[in-house]
Amino acid sequence: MHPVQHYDDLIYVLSDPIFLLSGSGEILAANPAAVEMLGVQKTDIVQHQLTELVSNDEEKVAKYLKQCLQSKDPVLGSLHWRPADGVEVRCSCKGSLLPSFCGDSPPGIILSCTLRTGSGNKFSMLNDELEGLRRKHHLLAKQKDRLEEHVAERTQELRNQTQALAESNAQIRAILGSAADAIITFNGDYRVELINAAGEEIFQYSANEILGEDIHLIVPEYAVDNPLELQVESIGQRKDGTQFPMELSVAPVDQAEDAASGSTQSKMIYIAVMRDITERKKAQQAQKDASDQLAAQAKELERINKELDQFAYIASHDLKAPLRAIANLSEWIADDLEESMTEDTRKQLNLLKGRVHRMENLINAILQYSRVGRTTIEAKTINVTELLAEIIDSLSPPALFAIEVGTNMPTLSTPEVLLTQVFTNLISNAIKYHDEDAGRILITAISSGDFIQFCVADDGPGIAPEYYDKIFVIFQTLQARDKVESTGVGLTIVKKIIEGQGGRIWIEPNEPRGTKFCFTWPVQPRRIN
Amino acid sequence: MKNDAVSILLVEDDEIDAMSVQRAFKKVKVTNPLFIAEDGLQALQMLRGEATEKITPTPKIILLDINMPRMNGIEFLQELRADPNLKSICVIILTTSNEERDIVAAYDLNVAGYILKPVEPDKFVEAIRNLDLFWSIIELP
Repeated sequence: MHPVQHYDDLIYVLSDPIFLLSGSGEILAANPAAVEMLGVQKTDIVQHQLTELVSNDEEKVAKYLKQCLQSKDPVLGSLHWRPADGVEVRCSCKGSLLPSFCGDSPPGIILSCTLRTGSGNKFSMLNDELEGLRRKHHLLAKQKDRLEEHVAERTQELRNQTQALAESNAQIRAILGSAADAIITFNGDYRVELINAAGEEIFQYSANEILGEDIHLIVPEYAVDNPLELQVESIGQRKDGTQFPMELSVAPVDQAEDAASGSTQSKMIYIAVMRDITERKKAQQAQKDASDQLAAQAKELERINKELDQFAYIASHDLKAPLRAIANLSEWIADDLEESMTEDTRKQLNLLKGRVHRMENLINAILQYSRVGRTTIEAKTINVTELLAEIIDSLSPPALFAIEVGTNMPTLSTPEVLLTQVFTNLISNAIKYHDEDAGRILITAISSGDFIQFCVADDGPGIAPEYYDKIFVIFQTLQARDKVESTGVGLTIVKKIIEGQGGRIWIEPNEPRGTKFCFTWPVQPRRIN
Repeated sequence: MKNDAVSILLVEDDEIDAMSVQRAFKKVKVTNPLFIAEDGLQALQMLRGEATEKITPTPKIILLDINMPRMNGIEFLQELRADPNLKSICVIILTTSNEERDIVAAYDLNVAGYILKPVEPDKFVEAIRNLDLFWSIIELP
């Protein structure tokens, strides 16, 4: 500790104003009596030069101090104290040498002041008292000023805080007010403390009616043992007793008591956000109903398809058996009666054979038709140019026939079997129904968004426009079956295949003569769910 | 056919179809003894000598239809292959059924061939002719 502080402690208790000075006149310490006497802060005294605080002549002060340092006995003097903002006071003082504090620190001066009192003079005693009172008054006045400053500061602080609080409250009120969900707080006794406008609307209570009521009035199933719930489904109860499905989130908040009151008691409040999910539930149910219905329909369709499959198989099988018998028996009759057969009989038997053959074709055609589109065939990437080359090759057109394939044939991902069937039928028709040996067939392709438009055009006899729709009808032929053997199912099957893929088939006249069959076919295979 | 003595069992419920096999055999000059059973059940009885006289010697070739009453062709074939005395007999399916599942079932039970009965009689005769040729080149157990 600095040596000055030792002395500081010592002079502290003395009732006379005492100053501790360095040899150069710096005030190192001043006791409370000294501070009071001067009516300023201690910091206005300590570490200041004595000459700053007195109005005595500086030279005289220096001389006095020197005397104090040199004399063995205290040196009397008088000082006229005039500290800035302080009390003006004259006093007589005794300055004594304070030998070296310890070791090597320089000596100092103890200055003890006594307020001037007249020797035995009552008037001067009263004067001194008055001086004392004035000084005290001055001190008090200063303290009062300081206090007033503090109060003013504090008041402003409080005003600012109140303002901030008011703004914050207004914000919270705005948020609560604008929320679409009900926001309700309730305390540890489950009494509602706050409800926003949405809450009033949803539960049909005005705030006055619901505040202080038990939360179970509006959330009858609220489980008190699990306060932290996030997005739980529960039931809300309105004022009129009706209930509705509700989504509920509850968060507990510990609002510990204000520290200023000294207590740290836990005060739990629960903030609940609730949403009326009647509409959502309805939508969910509707969606479920719709998807259930779809599933049921899909199941029904599957069942029907299976039935059809079985029916078609049995029908074709059971129809073919007697057909086979007729063919056999008629053949055997012809064989056995070979010698006694007339020209007519032979012709009739041949016609019989022909009809049997026709019937077999028709049965096969029906079976084929019924199968179209009921099994999903895997899609493959195929080059249409190659496909057409294969088909034309397998059809073996007459030598003089010219079949031209356009140069811009696409590559598609598609059920190959189906496209093959379509092209085979159209091209074979074009050959079959041509009236000349040297016919020309042209196959073209045009890109059209998600579809390709293919056309198979021939320069044959053409088809009258009034039959453009009719020829797609099942079993319809344009010529009697006796003239041209035809089941009349081929184009029907082709149309069914094309439409099953989402395409379309139509006929245009070809110029200068002939027919043009056009159809659209998807670039990507159609998804059948 | 290599050996004329080998007997053939035809399992067929349709009278006309049975007749057409007989006539075709005649035309192609297949002279082997031909036995006819009307369905799988009767065929087994004839092979085992149950409720009826046993075919002797045991036929080495069976021409089998699929769609028959009481016991159909596939069911008969299962019984046949399960019987140690009968399981090695060469079976050829002669049917109208074009169903994939029947074809697979038949080959799963080790048929030697699966023939679809053609509607035209002359085509049928052709088929029997080819069958005879086939029998002439194969060895039978």
